Amino acid sequence: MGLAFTKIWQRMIGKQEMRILMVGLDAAGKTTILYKLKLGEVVTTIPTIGFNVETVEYKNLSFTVWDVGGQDKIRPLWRHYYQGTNGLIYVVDSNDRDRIEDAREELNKMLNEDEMRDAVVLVFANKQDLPNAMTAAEVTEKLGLHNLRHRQWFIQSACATTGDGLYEGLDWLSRTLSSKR
Amino acid sequence: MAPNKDEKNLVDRLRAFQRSNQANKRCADCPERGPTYVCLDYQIFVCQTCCGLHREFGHKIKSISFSEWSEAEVAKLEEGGNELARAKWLDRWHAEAFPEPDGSDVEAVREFIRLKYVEKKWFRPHGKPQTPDASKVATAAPAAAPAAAAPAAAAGYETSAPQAPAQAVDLLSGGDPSPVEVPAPAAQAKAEVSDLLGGLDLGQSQEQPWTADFSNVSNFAPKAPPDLTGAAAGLIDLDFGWKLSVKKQCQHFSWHLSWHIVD
Repeated sequence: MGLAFTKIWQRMIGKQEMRILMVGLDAAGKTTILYKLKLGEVVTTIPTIGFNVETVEYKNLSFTVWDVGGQDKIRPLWRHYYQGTNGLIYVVDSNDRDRIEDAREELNKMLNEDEMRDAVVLVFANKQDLPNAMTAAEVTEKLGLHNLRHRQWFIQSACATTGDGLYEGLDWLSRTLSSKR
Repeated sequence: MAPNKDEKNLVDRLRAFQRSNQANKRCADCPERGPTYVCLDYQIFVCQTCCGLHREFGHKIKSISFSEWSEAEVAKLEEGGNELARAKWLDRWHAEAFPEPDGSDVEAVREFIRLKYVEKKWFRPHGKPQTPDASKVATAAPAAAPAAAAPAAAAGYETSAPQAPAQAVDLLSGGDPSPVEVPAPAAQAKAEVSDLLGGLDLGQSQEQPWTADFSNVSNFAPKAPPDLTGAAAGLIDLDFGWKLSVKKQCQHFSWHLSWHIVD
């Protein structure tokens, strides 16, 4: 009873907490996105070994964003962060045509995991400032997003360094996650 | 588990290559010791911080330990390394122009990396031509071929430049150099060379460092129009080999002159 009341109270005035897992291949821009959202500025990053975690308040939600390192040999560690994930932010370097296939494989592998079955998926087609960047439509096609079944997903073109697209993505996340509850 | 074994072999090769040269044990772009990343674009070992900076410029980065390597990537790296990269990318670098950053100031390191690799400020590939300043060629050209328009003169220089060393060889090989014929092409070659090098007096060639003017010339390199690249080839081909042959030519020529006088 007390728990139910707490939940109602939280929904009325408190901020809902959402657990967000942010992954993607190395050098996609995950850490830059995290700190652009958190601090509003572009930080100098180094490749993430392990993870960074920050809470980002947006609208009526409090996102706890886990940014996990994406280098080849540490990708198997992603699965340790799956449990309890409400939303997945999958970051893609739109300029890296050579590895878009790797990105597709990693995404599919992850979405096949049982622990991720309820997570909604936001894809950031990042680095749109680069002249040769794939468009969001191209990334959608190359990741095979249209083939996803029983999954709420959304792709947003973004540029982490300017911040373009980031809040649009969060908007979708907050709308989608709020309506799910 | 064959793939794992291969993978281990590749990493072993990477580490062996790193150990094989003292320069690979220090970051290519700052004084940090024991770099753990490789920048594939330039085949260099870099530290974690510089690796992060290279990523900002879109350069491809791999970790020695945390990335999967292909045979081709390792083989390519083995052909490079920090020592070669330094010779190539800092060829015309002087500490007075931009002191090598000590690593504590990230901004300075970022700027250093930008100037070094993106702007190619101090770059000179050995044995490869580089484009000179268009205006230099244009001003130099009339002296070499007064009647011709600049691009044509540049093209003319392109063809004449590679011939000059051959002439030098002929002169030096002891084949009877006719006093009438030989000095003429030699003098012509010298005239072109001296003009292009900014009016160096060939008489002082022994004392004058011939490379001195190249720094000015290639600073403007990227601005040269494509049709002048040929001329550029001629200009920058006047590298160390040339220096020698032209000097010898001069010696020979002066010897000829004195011989004439004595005669």
